[in-house]
Amino acid sequence: MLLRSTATLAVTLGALLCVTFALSALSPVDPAVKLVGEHASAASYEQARHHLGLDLGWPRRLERYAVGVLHGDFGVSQSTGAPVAEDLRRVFPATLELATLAMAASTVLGLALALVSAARPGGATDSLLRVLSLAGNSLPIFWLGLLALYLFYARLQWVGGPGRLDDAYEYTIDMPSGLVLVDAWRSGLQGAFASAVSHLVLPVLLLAAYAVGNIARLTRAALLAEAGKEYVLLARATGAGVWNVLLRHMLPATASLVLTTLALTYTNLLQGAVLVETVFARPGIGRYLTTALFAADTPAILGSTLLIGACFVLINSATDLVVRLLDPRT
Amino acid sequence: MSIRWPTARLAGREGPGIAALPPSLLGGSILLLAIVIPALLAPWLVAHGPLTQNLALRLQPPSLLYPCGTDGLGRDVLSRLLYGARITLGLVAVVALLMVPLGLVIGIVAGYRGGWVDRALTGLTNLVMAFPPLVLALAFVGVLGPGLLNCALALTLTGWPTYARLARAQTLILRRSDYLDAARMQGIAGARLLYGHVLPACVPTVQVRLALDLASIILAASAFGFLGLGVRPPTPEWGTMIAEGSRVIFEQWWIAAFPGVMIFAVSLAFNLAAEGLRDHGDPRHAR
Amino acid sequence: MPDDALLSVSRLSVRVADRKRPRILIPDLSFDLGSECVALVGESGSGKTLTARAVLGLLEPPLTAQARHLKLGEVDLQRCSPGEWNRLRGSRLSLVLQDPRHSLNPVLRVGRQLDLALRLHQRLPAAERRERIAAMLEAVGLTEVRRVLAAYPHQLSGGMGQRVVLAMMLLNDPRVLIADEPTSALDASLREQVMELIHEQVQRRRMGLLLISHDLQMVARHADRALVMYRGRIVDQGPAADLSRLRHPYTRALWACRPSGRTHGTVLPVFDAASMRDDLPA
Repeated sequence: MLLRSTATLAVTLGALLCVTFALSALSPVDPAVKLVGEHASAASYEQARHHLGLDLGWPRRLERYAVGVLHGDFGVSQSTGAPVAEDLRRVFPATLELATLAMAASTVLGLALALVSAARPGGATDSLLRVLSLAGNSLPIFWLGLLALYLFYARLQWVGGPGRLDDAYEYTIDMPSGLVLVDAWRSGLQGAFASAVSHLVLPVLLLAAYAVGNIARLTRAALLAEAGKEYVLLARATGAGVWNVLLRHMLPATASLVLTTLALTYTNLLQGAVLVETVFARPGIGRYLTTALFAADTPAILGSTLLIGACFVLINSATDLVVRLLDPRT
Repeated sequence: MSIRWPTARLAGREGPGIAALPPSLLGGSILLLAIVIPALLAPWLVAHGPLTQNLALRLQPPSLLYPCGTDGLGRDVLSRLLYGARITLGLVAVVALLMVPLGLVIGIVAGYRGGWVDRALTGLTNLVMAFPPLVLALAFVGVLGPGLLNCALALTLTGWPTYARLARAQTLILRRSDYLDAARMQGIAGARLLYGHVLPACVPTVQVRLALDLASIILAASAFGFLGLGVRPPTPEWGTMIAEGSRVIFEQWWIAAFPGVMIFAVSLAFNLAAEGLRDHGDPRHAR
Repeated sequence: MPDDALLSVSRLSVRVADRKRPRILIPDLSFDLGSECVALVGESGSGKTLTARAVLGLLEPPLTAQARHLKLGEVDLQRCSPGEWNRLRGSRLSLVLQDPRHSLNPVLRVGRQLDLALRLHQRLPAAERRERIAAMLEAVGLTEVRRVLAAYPHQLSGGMGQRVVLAMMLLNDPRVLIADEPTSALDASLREQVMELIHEQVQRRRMGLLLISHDLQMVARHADRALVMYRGRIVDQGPAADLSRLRHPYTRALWACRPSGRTHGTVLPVFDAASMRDDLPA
């Protein structure tokens, strides 16, 4: 079973690689032209083509690309001139930080709402969940982010604005780890940490708000599906109260569904971060991607896509594996 | 041979016709019509063209003359909203028309043929489903160039697997029943069988899923516009309008606010319709 | 109500509180249970399981129950708060269901489920809890105690699982046991064994047993009294041993339909519901 999962994982990642390669090959932009400029001589153009391996056949090019990626070479960014891999390494932790904080907040809140809703079916929590879900699926997150910035930053001045830190700190603090909370804390500068937090509040809450609805709704559905089962009746007959049964009996039984939902939500958060980082001008893989999109910087676009895609696939695979290992029935 | 599309019974209130529809389906449909009809009639409804600039009156707040204000080039926001509706709804329609048949065909063939065909197609479906849809679509458009066609293609290529799965599951259920055997004994076979008997059975689940998907496609499409991957200016599109408005949001909030409200309204309409469709097909889902 | 009644049910009614279609499922049910075995017999849908749920206070909305009185010993169940109900269930009043593969939690080990049940009503140190659980498992005829405790429900056979459920329900020394089709999901060869076990435990502890079953022969062998239910009403009652001699047409029809070597291959009598029309609820 382990072998099969690893094989599927390898195939999926390989396919992802092929897709990004195919996209790069289909791009109307000629990378050789981008390298040497429009008015280069034929000789330097040919040199560029050879240097980039464009004169090889498709299979060789794919192989070169794949080998490069496996060695951590994602090509060179056409806008920054730096290796894409380095850029990614620099910005990825920030996205992880954002997504993880949002995940933590939404998991706690989402599970709590689902439990309350399952304990009191048909009550106020049910309506709240329905509204939350509907809103989350209908409101564009980038628009809501803009309005939130306008209201809470420009008008009310409750939170920090775009960027990760106030300007005063932005250029004076070293960011070795890429995680703004960690770096701000360690810098020892007064107010730096508070500034980092105030800039995080809005994006984290925004992402979390979108995730809560999903987590709560799916967990609630799983719990309600369990509620009609006989072991719940028997557990109640042993004298366990509603919350006791929910927490000690039903939640463990829905563990695999809940875990899958959480994994799905985390991957959605990684995608949501793309837009949120752009709106809030926070560095991260999302903003790197959108900047690259604006600049039509193909290697950077594909490098980010590969990284996010690989995370996606790895998280889902890992969850599948964990779920199968946890379930005593298999 | 005419095809009778199954119409699932409506589990709403007891009553004739419209009164029997569940409220969410009704509400969603009305909202949708309230947007689609003005969008279609846009050229006759608006006082100013969507591309007409009037630099003297730029960045005006909402007023009687300009109910939604004017943007940075003095263009009427309301008229741009209505024309933008055509772009967005058109894009959504194109995606739906491409994505659903593609997914249905792959799913039905996989479910019906079985064997290595099924394995290959299911493998492909699972593969595409394993990729992050939004990011991949962004990469697609980003690399191959912005524009409505590429947006539509990108969303289609990332969206079809859901329908393939649904169709395959439904086809497998049918294969085990006698329903198809009965038809085959009447001499109906091959593509006719699939089109006339298997396809209609997939409709109920597909239509609910489609309604939900349309809502997220609108959000994705407007995200494309926001990131500059959609239509080229000066064509109005809600996402692009939000991007333009974001630069002046702190003073001229209306330029970014109104397009978002439109996106919200259309998405909400589709989500409500989806809920209604789900409730009427399966009363167990109704709360 | 007899003085030694462990459970006393008087004019119990169960209805569906649905505004659109209100229905009465059990119009008027009364019986007493002492230190004896009373069987509720009848076909599916006659209301036997509903009665059990109503007595346990575990009816799901929109089902509601009312009664003139519903007493467990001296305790008036209708005046109990949810907390009091939780204290009574498992410790004074217990339940065994049909299929242990469904009535035990599939993702928790047996030992844990037993431990949880014990801890709900008794504060004991872990070592003593382990002892009591082990002793109870042995009392119900399970010898490989450690293996059973570490197992998940799906790893146990039907007979073993049902013994586990019985053990779980007897841990806190209840006064009344409600057994809803306790042997129906078991192989025919095991049924008698498990029923014997239940009967023996109940007698030894001087408990009251409310046995719900459609197996008339088993009822005739093990119960003291039998109550025949049809569509939510008790249409006949009498000593269980005399089940074959009861006069009511429904009882006679039930008895005639029990599967045996003699009825094999014959056309079974069809019960004429029209003959009971006056007795039926609206």
